[in-house]
Amino acid sequence: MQLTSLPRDLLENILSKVPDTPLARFRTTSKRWNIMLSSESFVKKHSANAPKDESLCITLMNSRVHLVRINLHDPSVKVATHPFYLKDPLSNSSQVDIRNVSRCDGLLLCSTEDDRLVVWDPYSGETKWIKPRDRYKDTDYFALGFDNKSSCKQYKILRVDRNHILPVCEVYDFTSDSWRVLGTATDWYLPDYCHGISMKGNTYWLAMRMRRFSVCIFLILLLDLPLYQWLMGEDESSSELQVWVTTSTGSWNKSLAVIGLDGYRDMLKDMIPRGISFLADEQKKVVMCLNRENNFNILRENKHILKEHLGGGSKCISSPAVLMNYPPSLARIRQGTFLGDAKGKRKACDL
Amino acid sequence: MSKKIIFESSEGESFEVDEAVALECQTIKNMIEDDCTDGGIPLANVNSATLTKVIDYCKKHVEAAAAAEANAGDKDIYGANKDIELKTWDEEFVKVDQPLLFDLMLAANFLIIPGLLDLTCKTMMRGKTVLQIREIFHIKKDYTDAEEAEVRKENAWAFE
Repeated sequence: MQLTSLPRDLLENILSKVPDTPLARFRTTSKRWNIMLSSESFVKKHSANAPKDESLCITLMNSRVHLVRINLHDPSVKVATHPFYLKDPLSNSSQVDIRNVSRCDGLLLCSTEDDRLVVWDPYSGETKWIKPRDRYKDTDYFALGFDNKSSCKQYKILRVDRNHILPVCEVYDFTSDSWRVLGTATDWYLPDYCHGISMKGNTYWLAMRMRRFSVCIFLILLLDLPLYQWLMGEDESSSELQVWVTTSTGSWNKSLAVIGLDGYRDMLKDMIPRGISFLADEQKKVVMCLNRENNFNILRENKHILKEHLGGGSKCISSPAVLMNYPPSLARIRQGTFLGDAKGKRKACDL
Repeated sequence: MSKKIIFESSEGESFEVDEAVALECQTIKNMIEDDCTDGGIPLANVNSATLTKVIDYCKKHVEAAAAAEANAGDKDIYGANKDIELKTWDEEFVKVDQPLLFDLMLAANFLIIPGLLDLTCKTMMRGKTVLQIREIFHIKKDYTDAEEAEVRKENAWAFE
């Protein structure tokens, strides 16, 4: 049989079993393949068949998003030399400087240093730039999420404008391509360098209450895992710093593993206000954290097992530390929902 | 004695297999159900070398399934060992040259043997460079040099 006459269906089957990173390389083989790899039929097959690499994370370094591979067996961390490529639509040859990044499924939501906002699939390079209602500010927090109630995912963006005493929230709807003001918070605010965690379409932030001047909320850190959400809490009545875990349904389960961090209490406490990002592995009883200076630590049951500087220069003044799981195969799920058109036109949800 | 099915390769060579082995192929299963296997099944696009391998694969997997069923009662570590043994066997099975691997994949696709299709697809793509992929699939580079440079730049993160 002539290889060139390989049926498209079979070719898609073969390629759908290739993990994301080598697949991105295959985009450079030919235009025909590049187009096929972005097609809706392929993307569906790939998200069902491709092996998922759970050890991959992303971080923000020198205003770019880099893949990070963390190995817990033989503790090591490796940051990819080349960042994901976010092309600037306003310039032919340059990349965009990213201030902050959050994720929902495999999609990234990035606010840029020149106050623009983009939804981005770094694997396919597809982007959708979101226009502001008036203008974005460098103090804004954003989250990409979706409504779980309907049969197909209705993606939305939440903007929290923190440039007021109490934050003002508005939500962007992809179907109507417009922002709608939800209202003003009554008694809470989001502190600087706060790192939101996305789970099942919702994003969770640490919020502070306005009732007293001292911080009275105990929940201080949010951790990110595909299935488990971790929360590190400091109980004022207790002398130790604890890690609490929730189940994937979002309910708190205090009886789950507690990782003693007594020896690191002061260190962590010092790092927290300056924006630290956490990851945790429940089974291996490991907590990983990254601070804004890109110092990366792995702690296992009260012991430091790795301490490393990830490199990169100083951050943009309002950029938080970013370390999050990024199981890339999930990136493909939403194709055809709203990123299908390179020109940024809307498409009906047809999944 | 169990019923036999006769396959005929593209070279006209006949291969007699147990029905249970033939049933591993969804395509053949449908033919058996439709009762149209008398006088042998001609496989005009599968050569003898490939067909021999395909039959080996089906035999092994029928045996493994039978052994797993016999041991279904005792859920000890041996069950897990059997899985590992079969996996190791599979890995050895696909240590063949590229053209045969390709033929095996096409045969698995045509005969509908999901396990073999999966195995050959994965093996085929493992650790391949862009140049190797172009060679294997006879892909003509349709990018201009400038376009190729651009798409390589955009995907540079994947080349590590």
